[in-house]
Amino acid sequence: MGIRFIYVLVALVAVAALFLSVWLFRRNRLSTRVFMMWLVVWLAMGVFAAFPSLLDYLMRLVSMRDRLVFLFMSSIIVLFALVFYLSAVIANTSRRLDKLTQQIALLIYRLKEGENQQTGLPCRAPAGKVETGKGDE
Amino acid sequence: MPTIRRIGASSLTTMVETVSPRVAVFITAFNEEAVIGEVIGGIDDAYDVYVIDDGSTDATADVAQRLGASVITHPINLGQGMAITTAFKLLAACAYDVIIEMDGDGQHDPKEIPVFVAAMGRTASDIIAGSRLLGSDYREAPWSRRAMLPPLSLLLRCLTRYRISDFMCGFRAFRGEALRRVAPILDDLVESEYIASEMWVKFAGAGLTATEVPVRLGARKQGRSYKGHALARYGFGILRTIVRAKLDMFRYWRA
Repeated sequence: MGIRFIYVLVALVAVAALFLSVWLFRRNRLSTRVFMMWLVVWLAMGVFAAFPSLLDYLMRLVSMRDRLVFLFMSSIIVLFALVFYLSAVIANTSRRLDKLTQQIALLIYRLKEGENQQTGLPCRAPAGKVETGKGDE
Repeated sequence: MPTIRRIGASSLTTMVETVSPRVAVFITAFNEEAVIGEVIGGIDDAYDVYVIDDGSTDATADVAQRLGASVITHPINLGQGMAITTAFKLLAACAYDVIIEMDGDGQHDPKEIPVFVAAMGRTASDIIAGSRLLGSDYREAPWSRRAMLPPLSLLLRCLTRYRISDFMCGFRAFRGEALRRVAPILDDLVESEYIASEMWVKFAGAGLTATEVPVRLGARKQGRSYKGHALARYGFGILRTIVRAKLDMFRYWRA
């Protein structure tokens, strides 16, 4: 299996992934930010597979000689950045989910208390505004 | 029943009115159907009881409701820290004089609630903390807790200046007015799993005062603790929380 075959395979994968990303984006399954991020990744992958000499130019810029090592290093850096970004997104989503769950619990409780008042049963919480959070960005 | 003296001044006379404090007890519970009834049953009828059911998959909420408690149910399990802040969000908006926090696993004795209410009436403290070290033999606690409690308490004592021996005890009382004051700070927990450490750092930052009363630590009636027993994880989690809570307070002051 020659190196040329690998370049062709990588280019085909990049094009397929690009089409998949566009398809998901058009169906609102990817946010604009995530779509743009993957668009850059797939385009870069496709361009480097189609024009490998570009890799040599970049390698010279960072004083590296082995093309394979350069590819691995750059892939690892991109993947680390991606993992960091996704972990930050997950932490934020988790925090917002916690607050949403609290708000739902308090709203359901208030609804129940309202029903109790209608049926004449005692309402334990004195009248007052229940703070259900400041709301998230 | 202990009383709180409210003193109001008019242009002609000074009126001294003696009223009973309005007390709410909130219990956080997760899958405690076997013991929650006993805990609620042991609480004096004069107190309003709230159960924060943290997404239990058993009949905890039904049992509590049957016994007349007000039940707030999390649709999913969020952890005890979030259950406590749910209670704070609700009760800070209510007109209670004293708010008591206790666990639903039967380790805290409801008969000791009047001790907290009495201490609240006797002192000017905003928080009355229960101390298992003063009131019971702590040797039955998991070894990781016994190993970590003294150094962490010492660290918290240095950081907060509170003269308290057991910062991690979940049996506490809050003055309603004080809780209303700090509710916005507690809205954003940095590490809800280690809420006790974070709360104390934030209470100190907000200038609340605290004293302690001895409490007995009963044996867990059923199930197991959902908190970690791993020494390193528990200790590191609390240390991380203390540092982040301190940083959070700086951010709060600057805002």
